[in-house]
Amino acid sequence: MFRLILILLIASNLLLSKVLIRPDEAMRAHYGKNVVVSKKNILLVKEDIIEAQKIAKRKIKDHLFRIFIAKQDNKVLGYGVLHTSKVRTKDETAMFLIDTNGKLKAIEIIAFYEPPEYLPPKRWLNQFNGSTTENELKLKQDIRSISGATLSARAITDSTKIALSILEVAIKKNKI
Amino acid sequence: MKKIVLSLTAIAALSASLQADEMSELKVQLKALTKRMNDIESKNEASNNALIEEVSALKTFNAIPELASKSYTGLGYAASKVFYSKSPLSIGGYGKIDYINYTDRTTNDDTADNYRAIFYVGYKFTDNIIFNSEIEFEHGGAEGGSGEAIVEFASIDFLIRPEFNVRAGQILVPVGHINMKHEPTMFNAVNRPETEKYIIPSTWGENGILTYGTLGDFDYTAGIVASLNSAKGTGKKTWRNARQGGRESKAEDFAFVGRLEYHALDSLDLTTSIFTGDSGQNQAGLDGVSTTIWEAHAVYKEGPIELTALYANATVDGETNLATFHADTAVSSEGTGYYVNAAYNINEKWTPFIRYENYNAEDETLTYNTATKTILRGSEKDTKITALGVDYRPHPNVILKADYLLYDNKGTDDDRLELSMGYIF
Repeated sequence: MFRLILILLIASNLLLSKVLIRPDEAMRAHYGKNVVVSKKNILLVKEDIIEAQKIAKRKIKDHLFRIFIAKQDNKVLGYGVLHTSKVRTKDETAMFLIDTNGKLKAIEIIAFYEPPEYLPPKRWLNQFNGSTTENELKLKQDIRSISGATLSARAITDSTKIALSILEVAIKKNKI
Repeated sequence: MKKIVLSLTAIAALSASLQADEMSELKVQLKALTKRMNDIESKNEASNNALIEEVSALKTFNAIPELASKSYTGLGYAASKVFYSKSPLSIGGYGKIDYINYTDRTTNDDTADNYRAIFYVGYKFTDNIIFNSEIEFEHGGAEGGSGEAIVEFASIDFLIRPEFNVRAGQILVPVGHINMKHEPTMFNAVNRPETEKYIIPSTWGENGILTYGTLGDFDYTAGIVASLNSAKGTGKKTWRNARQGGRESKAEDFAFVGRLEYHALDSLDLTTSIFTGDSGQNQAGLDGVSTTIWEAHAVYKEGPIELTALYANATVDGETNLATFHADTAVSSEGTGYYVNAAYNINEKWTPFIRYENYNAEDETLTYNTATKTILRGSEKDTKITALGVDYRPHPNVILKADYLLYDNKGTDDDRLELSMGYIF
């Protein structure tokens, strides 16, 4: 009986590989269905990184960032910064949707390779909305932790601050 | 100044000596040189950009192979998967080492114990079929003494849709607060509350099948597991010792397990869970014996404040049969307990806390006297524990704990000083 259930489960289109949401879908979900989404890969040199680290108050290991841009009638509506960080031993990749004023609109988890119970729930992610580089975003102070998934909470909290800072520097240096 | 005058004079002299055709020749050369410079510059920029694009594609591919696989050029999907697919193996772990000083005891009971060293091993067959396990070495391992090397859980998740998923195998019984989240960084005191040891017998793993999912603000779990075995538990450990732990578990009786979590507010989670089923496991003398354990708990987190409160109740029906089965030994037919834990995160490192707990695993006891063939009913006194302590996290995944327990053990003082070092990775 047990075996039969297993076989049925496996047979029923379980095997489709999936990403939680594609970056372009995430952009359209937040900036509108009809926006034009483009992507830009930007390289920040050492001095840019030092500046971003100062703003983020976190160490930034990457130099290369992929930023999505939502435009309507040639007007930029907002950005989506991709950032990948380690949770336990595996990576998570999130998109940080940030408006033209540098304010976080939403976080979308794009890919998550740890077991699903470590995946931060949507309602936990919502507490970051409205954050800017001005917010300290300290875990367990400004940001609630997730019971049972402290490492995910830390990864996302740090990534948020990094994404906000990177975009600020990229815009300031006319790299985007 | 003198030098400049000299240079200007030299240039003037040179220009004068240059013929007009030589002059235009130089102009042409300069123009060609400038063009070449511009070409090189734009070529450089183009190749830089190409490099940035390629590295970025590779980086994205590395982070999210499924996503990049379709757009990445140069390699076919299958080939690139071999090269770039993430390792499906996932390893984690946690552990704790405790020192306990029994300040009220005159006997030499103090202990320093490598209480837990645990490894999580997971394997992702596909995005939707995921194996996860916890292998535990308790009290320093299994050689002699009271050490243990056990599998706490080993199960496979079949992720179907957010509202409906299946977990099968040896699973953590989804009852209580600590049982699901028992890493040392998850609770403040050195030891977990005793309510979640004697009323809810955590850590409690058993073989079974669960369905779970999210519906709006609710997370649910429902399923069946091999039931407890009431032939094994008596006295204070009526429930704790009845655990089978998935090791050749008797599966004559199954129990229903259910859990409902309600995310009432962003800062407030309310949860209730239940385990109920026959627990005689078809053994002679244990007909009609069944066990129910239920609990309700709330977790509130706002800024640096964390509050947790839990109430739990465990009962055995068919208790006279249970008492007769365990002749001349007290069994418990009801146990209750509650605790309240308040913690304040001063910063990311220091967290002072206080926990008050009151429980009684022997609220109602029964002892069958073989000589008189009668059952004596009774009740034990409550155990009350106030824990005062502080956690220090030198790193988010490393925790040092110190607490002092004002421990009223059924009316006898049994205070303790506890120190612990815990880790998770």
